[in-house]
Amino acid sequence: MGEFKVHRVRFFDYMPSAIRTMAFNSQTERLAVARADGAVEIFNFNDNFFQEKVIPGQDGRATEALCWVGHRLFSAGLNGEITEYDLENLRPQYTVDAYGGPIWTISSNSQGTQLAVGCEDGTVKIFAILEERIQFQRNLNRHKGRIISLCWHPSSAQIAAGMTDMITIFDAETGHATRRLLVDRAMGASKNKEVVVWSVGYLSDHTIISGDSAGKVQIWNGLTGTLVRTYLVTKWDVLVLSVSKDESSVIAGTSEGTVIQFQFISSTMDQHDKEWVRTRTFRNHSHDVSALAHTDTAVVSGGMDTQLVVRPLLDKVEKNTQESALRKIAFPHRSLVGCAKKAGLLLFQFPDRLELWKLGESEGHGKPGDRLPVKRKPEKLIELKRKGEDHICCSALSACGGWLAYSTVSSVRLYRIQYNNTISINKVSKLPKELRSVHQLCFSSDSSKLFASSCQSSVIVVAVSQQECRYLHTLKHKTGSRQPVHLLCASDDGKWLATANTDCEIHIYNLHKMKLHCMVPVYNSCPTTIAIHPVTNNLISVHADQQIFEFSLVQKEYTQWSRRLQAQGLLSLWLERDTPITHITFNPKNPDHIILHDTYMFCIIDQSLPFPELNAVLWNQMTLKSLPVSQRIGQSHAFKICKSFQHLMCVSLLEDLSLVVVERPLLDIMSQLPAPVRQKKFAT
Amino acid sequence: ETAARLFLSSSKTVDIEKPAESFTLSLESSDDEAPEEVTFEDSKAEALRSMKQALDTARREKQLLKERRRKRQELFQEQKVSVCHFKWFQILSEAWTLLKGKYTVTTVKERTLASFQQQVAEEFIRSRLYGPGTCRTTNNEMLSLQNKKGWNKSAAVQFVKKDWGTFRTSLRLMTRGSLLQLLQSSWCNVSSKDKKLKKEKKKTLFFLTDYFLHSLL
Repeated sequence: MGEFKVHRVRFFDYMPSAIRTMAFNSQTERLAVARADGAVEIFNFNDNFFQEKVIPGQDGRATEALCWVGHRLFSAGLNGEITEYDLENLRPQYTVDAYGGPIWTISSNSQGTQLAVGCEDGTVKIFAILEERIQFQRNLNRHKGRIISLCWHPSSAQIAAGMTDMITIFDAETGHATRRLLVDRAMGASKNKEVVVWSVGYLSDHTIISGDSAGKVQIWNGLTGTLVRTYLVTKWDVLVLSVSKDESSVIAGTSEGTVIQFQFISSTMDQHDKEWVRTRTFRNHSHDVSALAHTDTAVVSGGMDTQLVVRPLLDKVEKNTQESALRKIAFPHRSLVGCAKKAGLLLFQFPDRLELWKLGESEGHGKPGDRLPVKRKPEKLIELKRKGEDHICCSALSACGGWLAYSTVSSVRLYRIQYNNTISINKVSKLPKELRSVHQLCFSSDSSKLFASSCQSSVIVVAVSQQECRYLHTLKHKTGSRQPVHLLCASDDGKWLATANTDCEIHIYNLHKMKLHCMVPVYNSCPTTIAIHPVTNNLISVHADQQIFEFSLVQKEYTQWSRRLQAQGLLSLWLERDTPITHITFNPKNPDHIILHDTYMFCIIDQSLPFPELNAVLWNQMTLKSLPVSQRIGQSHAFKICKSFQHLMCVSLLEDLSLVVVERPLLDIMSQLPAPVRQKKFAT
Repeated sequence: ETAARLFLSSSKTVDIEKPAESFTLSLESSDDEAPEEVTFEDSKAEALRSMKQALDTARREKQLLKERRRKRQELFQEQKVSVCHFKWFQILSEAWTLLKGKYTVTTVKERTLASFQQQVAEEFIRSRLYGPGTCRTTNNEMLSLQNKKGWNKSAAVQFVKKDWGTFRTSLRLMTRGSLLQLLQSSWCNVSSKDKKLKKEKKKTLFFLTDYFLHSLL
């Protein structure tokens, strides 16, 4: 298989942003997650929880709430604005100032005709949802104190609003407050501290469920205004509630990191005396849980520890299957690291800046497992801070290291880098006006062209040179899909360009003729990474369901190897991995090798070796070496896995055949999170 | 029973008071004689008086204790702030040397009402979740506890970068307002008659705060 010198890189200080809120769309099976930095991510629950889309954040957006209305996504934040997102172009479509101060909550009625927002100034504002926009209708009666949470009654006739020390029920038609439910403050020392009702739920039978800062979940009768039941679930705050669609289950998220489930069940067989009973407690987070979504089969939670956790409910799914496994999504499903293979440079993408690093050098040789002495330390060459409020969406570094580009939702910037005695970076000022709304960037291997994906999966081609940046061509496809391109790659010989969009379409363009060459047959799982082999010009694609395909660009059909793999089937250990493959690279010395990685392992697929059996165990190389030779040959199959490095942000192979492994241990991220609650544990 | 409890509670800080005011009046008498008869009214008055005295004493002691605790808290706060001040002076001087090399005068955006309101709202969340009385710990401690209680028990977590999980994090949690206050109080309070100079100083102060907040948060 070969030995590699490995550059083990741990200086990418990637810090994910806390999950602030989420909303699940049961029609489309998409989960929208809003982060503290204003970014919105869309996960496809039908496609192995793949993170399909990322809308970059913006300084000051401070998103507090998300809301789906049909296929439309709205958010509201502490900047006082309601934003509707353009999910085809991955940007805010427009923003509307509610003129009520910071907005704490947003919710639509069940018909999808009105949006209610809860504001800092104590008003609940109603907006009409029109075709291309929203329009302010009226305010409900103003109350003293901020409106922290609200929920429509399924009939759209009432709104329950959670405030400080109380819950107010409004008549949505007249705007009058019809009832006030007074919430008790905490017992003991915190009696002077006001209790904040962080979340409310309103059921069809007029039951109101509230979660507050005193750690209580309370069940109220909304018609009589009386308290039915109180559950003290935590010493800290209950930050969020979510009601299931059939209203039989409610989940509550706390500052302790627990998610508590309540179910409407009866204690007797005849099912007549149902009541809300506390059932399960899930402990899947180390920090505050501030976002929840209750799907038909699972409990989805997220919070200050930045991880998205999907916990299937074991009474809704088949036990001991892939379906019932706990899923934790801690890293993005796309690569944030660019590698200039010829120059030995790394580009790290942060929301607010780019960092260009030169890899270090070592001397001497060693045996596998040895740590070589470092002759020259890695060096940060450039730190480029973005201009403006919009966060960086994508970036690219040319293979020679001489060109750097990044884009935000509002602009594209191109820089020329020169390496003499000192590093100099110069912005290319006049860019073609066609370079707008760019989602992916990629340089050609000879650094003469820049490819930028734009609206409706089109690709803008511009020529870059010392003197200028000139628009060349726009490549378009014929399917009529309006979905954005999330993967873009160019072949080494400069002839081919491949794009993949979130409609699972992969298009191939001929760059010599500057036109569409063909489209790969659509596979119903979204590709997570694509790459073109430098020698064979075959396109390798790996999908969210972990399937691998190889497509010959010249023949316009799947290769023999790919057909054989499909016929045999991938081994189950491969298919059960729960993080997507985010990068593919090739070995210049051995064209049979395909090197790919996910968060927990990297793998070298040797196309000259036989496929493993479906139930084969994947031994790592250390274990294999310890086996007797005869057994070793029997284990010799195409998939060589290495789990020595974690958590992987990128694995790449340089021109000098050394491997670059960029790791970001989860512990490093955890240590820099905000403070968790202090739990008193026995015997500590 | 209430009087007895009061005596017990105050016994921690004050010498146990002799229950000198007993409920029966005793006179010099021989063993043979029956005890002096006391009227119901007298003994009732006596009981009420002693109870009132006990309540007064307890109340006084509580006040004293409260006062003492408040003074101690203030002292700790001052010490903390002075340490913070010192650290801020260090950071400030570092920043000046950094800025001296590439110092440019920039005009800071006017603080609009909207951004002020947003600031207030953000401070509200921070004080509710991380403010006093919220009982938080450091990531260091939490991870160490996990190590100690996990299946494979191991030592406490010690980070290579000493400031991880501790001071830096707590700085991040200080509200913007209090950070600003801190900076302002540690800023040399040179009263300037020149309005323009004062304005310039204020602008530089805001710029510095933003710079620190941006780099620290």
